[in-house]
Amino acid sequence: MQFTIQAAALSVLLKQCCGVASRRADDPTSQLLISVHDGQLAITAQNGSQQITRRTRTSSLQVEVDGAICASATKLEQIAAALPSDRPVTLKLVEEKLVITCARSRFSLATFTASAFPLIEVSSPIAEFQIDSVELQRGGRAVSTCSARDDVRTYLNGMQLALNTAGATLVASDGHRLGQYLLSGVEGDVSASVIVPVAAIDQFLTFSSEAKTRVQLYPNLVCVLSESGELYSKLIEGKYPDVARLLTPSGKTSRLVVNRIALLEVVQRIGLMSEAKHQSVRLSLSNNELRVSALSNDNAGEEVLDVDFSGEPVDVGYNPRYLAEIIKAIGPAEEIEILFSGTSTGTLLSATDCSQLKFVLMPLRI
Amino acid sequence: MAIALTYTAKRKTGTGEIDDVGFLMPPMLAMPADPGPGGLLSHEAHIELAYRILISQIGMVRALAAHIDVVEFLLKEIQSVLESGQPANQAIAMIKVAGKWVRGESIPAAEFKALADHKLKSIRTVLAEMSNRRDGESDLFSMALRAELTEKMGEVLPYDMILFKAADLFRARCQDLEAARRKLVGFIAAELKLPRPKVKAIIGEGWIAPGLFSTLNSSVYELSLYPPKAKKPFRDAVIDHQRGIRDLVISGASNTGDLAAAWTSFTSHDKVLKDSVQLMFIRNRPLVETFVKQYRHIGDPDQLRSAGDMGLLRVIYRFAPERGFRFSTLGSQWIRQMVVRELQQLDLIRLPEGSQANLFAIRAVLAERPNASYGSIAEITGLDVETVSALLYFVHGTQGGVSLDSTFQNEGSNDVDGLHEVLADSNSQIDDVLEELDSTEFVERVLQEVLPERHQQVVRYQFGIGGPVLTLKDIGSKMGISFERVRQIRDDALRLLRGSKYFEDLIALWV
Repeated sequence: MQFTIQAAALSVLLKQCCGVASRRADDPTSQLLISVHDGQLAITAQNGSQQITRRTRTSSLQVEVDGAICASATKLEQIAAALPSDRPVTLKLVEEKLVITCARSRFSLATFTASAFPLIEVSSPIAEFQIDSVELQRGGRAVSTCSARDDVRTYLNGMQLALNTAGATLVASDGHRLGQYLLSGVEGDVSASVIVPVAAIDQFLTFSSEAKTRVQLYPNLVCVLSESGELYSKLIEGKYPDVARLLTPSGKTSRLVVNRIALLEVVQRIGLMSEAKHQSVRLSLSNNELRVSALSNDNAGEEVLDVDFSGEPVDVGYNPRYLAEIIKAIGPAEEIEILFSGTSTGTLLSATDCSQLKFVLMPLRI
Repeated sequence: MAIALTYTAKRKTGTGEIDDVGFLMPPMLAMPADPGPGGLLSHEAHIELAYRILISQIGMVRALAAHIDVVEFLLKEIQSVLESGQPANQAIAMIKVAGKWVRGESIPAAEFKALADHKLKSIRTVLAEMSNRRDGESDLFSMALRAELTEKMGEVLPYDMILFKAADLFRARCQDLEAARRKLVGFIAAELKLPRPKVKAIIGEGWIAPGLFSTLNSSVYELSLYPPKAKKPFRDAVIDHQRGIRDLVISGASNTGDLAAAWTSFTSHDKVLKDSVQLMFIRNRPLVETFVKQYRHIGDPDQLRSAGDMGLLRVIYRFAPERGFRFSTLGSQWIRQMVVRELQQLDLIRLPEGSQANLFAIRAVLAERPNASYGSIAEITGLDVETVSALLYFVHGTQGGVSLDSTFQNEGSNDVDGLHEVLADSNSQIDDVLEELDSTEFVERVLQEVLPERHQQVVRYQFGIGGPVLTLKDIGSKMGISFERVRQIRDDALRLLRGSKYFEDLIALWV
């Protein structure tokens, strides 16, 4: 195997792949699979639950000998990043060593045979559809702030992508907050519900550089296909809880409309006063006046906002961090609408000008 | 009247649609003014009170949803009544269907039972889902489930007796909470030298409110005079007590801190219920007195009064405000019935239901014409001659009967002989006993003649001949063979018996 490519192009490819490769040096998944074939360079990384492949046919690529080999991901990435970006770099297999030369620099890395690389076994896809990439990114980014990281209810450690004839939704929740985004621009007649693990969400959202993200579903895998490669991720098994009843306001609700930035700033400021143990800020609403206050031991903070409010007076507490994160995720909307329905059911938050994105936040008793 | 009409949906005749027999529940109505001793409640006041009673009961059911044990108990009680074959409306008084309340009496019993089963099933589904969840922590999903449970519970109004049983359980579960509250009241009362009711009034609903101390400070003048040094330990002690209450609230609920809110809501609804029932009861006591006066020559007035009171209490819970009837109409029926029933139970001999009325009629005829014949009494009262002749024994009260133990004086008798010595006993069963002894022998002989030893054994056990009836399983374990084998032997034995020449006689004995 021997090929030459511009250092910058190689660095970009490696950076994308190394995000997936395992950091543990003694693991076979800490290796990258590099292969050149038909004038095309492909780099594959794997970590047991995700597998990413990036391909390139850039003009700076000159393949002399086809072939494939495995080498340490971190070392390769570090070398590529350290090389002057405008110089060509040559990778060559010499006596089971990967020799990297660029100008007068020369590196030699230990290798494995390509067949030792643990590629994910892929069966045949059961469904395929396309999502508008901008929509997917916008919705996924907003919603995934609510994902749990290491909950014992494993199905919460991810983002649900549900498709049916009525439309497609992205849902994420950690039990205390929940986000839902109604995706528009989905093509393909598919009815399915999958849970993308939290570790793969970012890759899943941003992998495709085209206007439409092509997604294939396998029995236990999801795959994003792009001209420049593919991303496989294992799915979280389990049934995602029914969230419809959380998102429909029940009983009497009080409606608050307030400037998003103003509210965010107030919550962040007053949140400073909330105690570490019982984190909560208190929202008291009556007579078009929102009073945000926090009380911990002998420290207290309070701020008043003039707001547009209708309904029964409200007096309820929230975790300030969760509240601020949701308000941020609702951006860039100008105004935010909050529907309170007592302390025993979730509070509904959304932008006034966007009905696609909705959040539910658990109130705290105060 | 206006209130009743507003919330009553018009009934269509014939269609039997549930929507047409349901009614809307108004929001909580204000407590009507007490007309004072001797005053009478107006029709509107009755209706308002009755709605308050219904609404507060529904509120109580919703509050009970905070404690899963209580919900399960309630379901069990309802289920046992439903299964016992009693009418479904003695398990559940009303059900909410499509936003309207439907009374058990308003639709056919089978339809109501189906509705009840459906509602109970949906409550059980939520309960089952809740029990799958981790305890201790409250999150959006458990909140949604609890909200759903509360919602579902709020669509069923159990029969008042059952509801009160569950409410008692709920109260017991919250008793520790009560004790902690009492301690707080006691502490403040002792410290500030105030009567307990006054302390309670000051605390109001603010048991765990952080502002309790400042409330005390502003409402008790003496406290504001305390030097700051004395105030601080008092304040700390109050907060300590409050923390105790808070802890109980959190640990007592099956998985949330909702119990405190539920308990507060429960007690406030309980108070509304109690006040409304009490007002209705006190101002309708004259109704009971009317009936007691009517029957005062027959029974003990105190006993009648207590029966009448029970009748009044029943009718307060049964009164349907949406129908627009006058309370006194329904009330007199129930009170009269309870009083009459009490009178019947006072009697030595219990007469069949309805006989009392006939007896009154006969008495009335005899009062005017003491020597009237059976025929003429029957003619005037509209009863048949047989009934008249049977009831005439009791015209002078059923207490006029003679005990079998009473002695009598007759030729050749001594004074220890009771009537039972000389009267024939039509209930004597000596013939039957002899016959049974005879037939046992016959059955035993047939078994020995027709069946092999093992078959006899199985048949004896299975049909309880000369011992208790055993199940197939017990027989199997007793004889050391499988349950299935026992069944086979039994079937075989029955086949043999059926084929024997004694079959006809056996059947005759059996029947």
